[in-house]
Amino acid sequence: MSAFRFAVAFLLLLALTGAALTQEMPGLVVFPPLQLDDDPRSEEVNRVVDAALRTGIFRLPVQAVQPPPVPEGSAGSDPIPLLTELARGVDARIALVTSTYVLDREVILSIAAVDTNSGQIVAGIFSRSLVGLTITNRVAEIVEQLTQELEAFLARGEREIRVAPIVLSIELQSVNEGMDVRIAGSTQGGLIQGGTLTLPFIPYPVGTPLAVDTVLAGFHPERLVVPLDSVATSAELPPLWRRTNRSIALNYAFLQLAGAGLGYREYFNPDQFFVGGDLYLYASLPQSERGEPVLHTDVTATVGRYFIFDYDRPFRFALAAGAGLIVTVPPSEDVDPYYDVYLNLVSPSFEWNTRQFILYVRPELKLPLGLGRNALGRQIIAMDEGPSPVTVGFAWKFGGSR
Amino acid sequence: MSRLRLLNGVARTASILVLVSALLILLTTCEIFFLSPFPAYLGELEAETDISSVIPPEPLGSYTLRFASRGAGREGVVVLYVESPTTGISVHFYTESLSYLGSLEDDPADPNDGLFANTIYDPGGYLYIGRRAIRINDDLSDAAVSTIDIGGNGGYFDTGDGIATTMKPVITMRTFGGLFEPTGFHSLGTPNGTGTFASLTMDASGVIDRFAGVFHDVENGEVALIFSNGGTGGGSVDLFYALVRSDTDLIDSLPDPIFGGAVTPTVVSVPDFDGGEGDFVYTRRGFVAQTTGNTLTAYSLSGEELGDRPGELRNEEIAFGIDGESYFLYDTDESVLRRVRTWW
Repeated sequence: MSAFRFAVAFLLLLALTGAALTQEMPGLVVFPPLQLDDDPRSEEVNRVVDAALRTGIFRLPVQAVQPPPVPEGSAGSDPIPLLTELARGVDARIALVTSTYVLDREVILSIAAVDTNSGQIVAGIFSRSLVGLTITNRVAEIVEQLTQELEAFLARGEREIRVAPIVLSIELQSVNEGMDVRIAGSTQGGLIQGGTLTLPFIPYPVGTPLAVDTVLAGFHPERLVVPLDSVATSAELPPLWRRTNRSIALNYAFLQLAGAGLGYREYFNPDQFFVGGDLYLYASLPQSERGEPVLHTDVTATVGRYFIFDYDRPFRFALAAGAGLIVTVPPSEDVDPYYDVYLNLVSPSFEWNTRQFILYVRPELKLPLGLGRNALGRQIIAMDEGPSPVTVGFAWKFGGSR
Repeated sequence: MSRLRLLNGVARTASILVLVSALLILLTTCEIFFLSPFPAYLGELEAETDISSVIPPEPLGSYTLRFASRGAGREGVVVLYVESPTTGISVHFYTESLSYLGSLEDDPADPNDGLFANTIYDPGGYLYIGRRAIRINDDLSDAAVSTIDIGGNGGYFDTGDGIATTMKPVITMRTFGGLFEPTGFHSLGTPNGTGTFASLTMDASGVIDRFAGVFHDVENGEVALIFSNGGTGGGSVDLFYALVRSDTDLIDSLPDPIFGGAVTPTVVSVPDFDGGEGDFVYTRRGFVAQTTGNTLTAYSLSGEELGDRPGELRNEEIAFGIDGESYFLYDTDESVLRRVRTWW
């Protein structure tokens, strides 16, 4: 509900106030429930609540009052001070301020008992109940609970009971223009436009964590929790994580240091399952002054997936496997190239993950098959009693509408 | 003010360039850049030929590779001795440029036909393979290999601790009890039996007590005689070698004792090694010692270390050309013969 609509509802409350003051219990003013929505089911709920509050559970006299003129600039503000003043004007000791809000299948009911002497809330109930026949029983329970708290207060004297104030407005900001924000479990919400969204008024107590579901094409949907830390809450939503559909990488590998490579990944399931290809060009530097560099071209195809850590974790872990081919060109023109077909048995990738790029370290267990004319034979690629190849890489992530 | 700023910018840029250059130099000179899982010889590989059609790979086979010098203007010969449980014993000949010359097969029915891997000699253009002397024609045609039967006289003498030949006359040698005993027969055309021609003391002090090899440089008309002190029990071994002319009667030219008199040995010390015969190779450009873990270490003829080649010979037989410019590898798994530039 917009601020304007809330203001209209508040003015309606003031108009109803005078007629609502009862005569049979001087000292207690029961204001009619403040309806904060346009849902027709609220009228029935209000009737039940109003009846429950008037049916003799309080023992204080009531005085009739007329509603005062609406003060300038009061629209959209907390109604409790104004109503308390109204009750004080008729010498009532306690003012009961009630509001209802029907949100989908729920009724949010708020009742505050205000001591007109101190202006403090001395008893209060905040309840969320299902709409339906059970609302009558639920309201009776609430009123009974409120009665006990209020009687206890009157017996004790002046002690104040802290009841959280109601959040009057929630404004959300986000860099994700067009993002659909919905209150979790409901259809209430809207789109981020111009960087902001004002949520409909729902009388949450200040301090309530509000869960919202966010959706935007090309991004991972997320459930975010907004702490409602003030009556007029304004919160910056963290930017959504773009779905990674492909990435391009620069690779640099131990045992292949005189060279560099490119990598490409296509994610069938964004940030999760991928197929990829790597191209690495490098040279084996001459082992003596009489030698010359030997050129190698390594082409690999892999399939892999991420485990344990989700797409938005700073550390991620993936496993991949595949196959490849190393073409080795000796310097002598009299010697034909060698072709080593190999299996990449397992390639764990340890990654530092950000929204835009990945830095990774990726050991590789490559087994040449020794097929045809080859240079490596059939043994795991590694130095004698030494390490296997380890690739470090830097990958840019790209998203899309998928 | 702006000039000062310009100077600062130039200085900053120069500093960055110097730092980057230093880093690049450091990285490129770093040994880690030279690590490679590929065979170290690939950068020095000159030629190779797949000989699997002649010699199919045989996992249970035994192979020996030798190089024989054949004199001025003639290519040396690469000799591959094969002992196969399925095809028997055979010897195959290739030129230095890896052209196929021909093959010989052992006749198991003839007890005097034995081909032996450890009796491949190169006396004056002949190769002695077991009990055969091989003449290889200069035209290097496929039918270039012919044999001379040296019959039961034998062209070998195997005592287990030292075998060699000289070139003129054909002589085998052995060491026994600190003595160097040339033995053999006098002439190729009319082999006239074996016998001990001399019994020479290797050196008077007894330090040199092991025969380590003989290598024929037919082109230069020289023979390299290599002896050693037998090592010091896991420490180092000293090689003693001398080049003697082959165009004179070697027996007559050698003094007794060999070293300590007219022949002055050159000493090459191989550290952390206790090798014996067969572990050293002579070339005109230096020695090669096959040390621990199949590492091949080259030494100059004056004894300086020239660099090594670790991890060779995994599935390969090796033979060095007498000129020290190239060596030959036979890959027993793939049946591929390669010629490789030496690394020093």
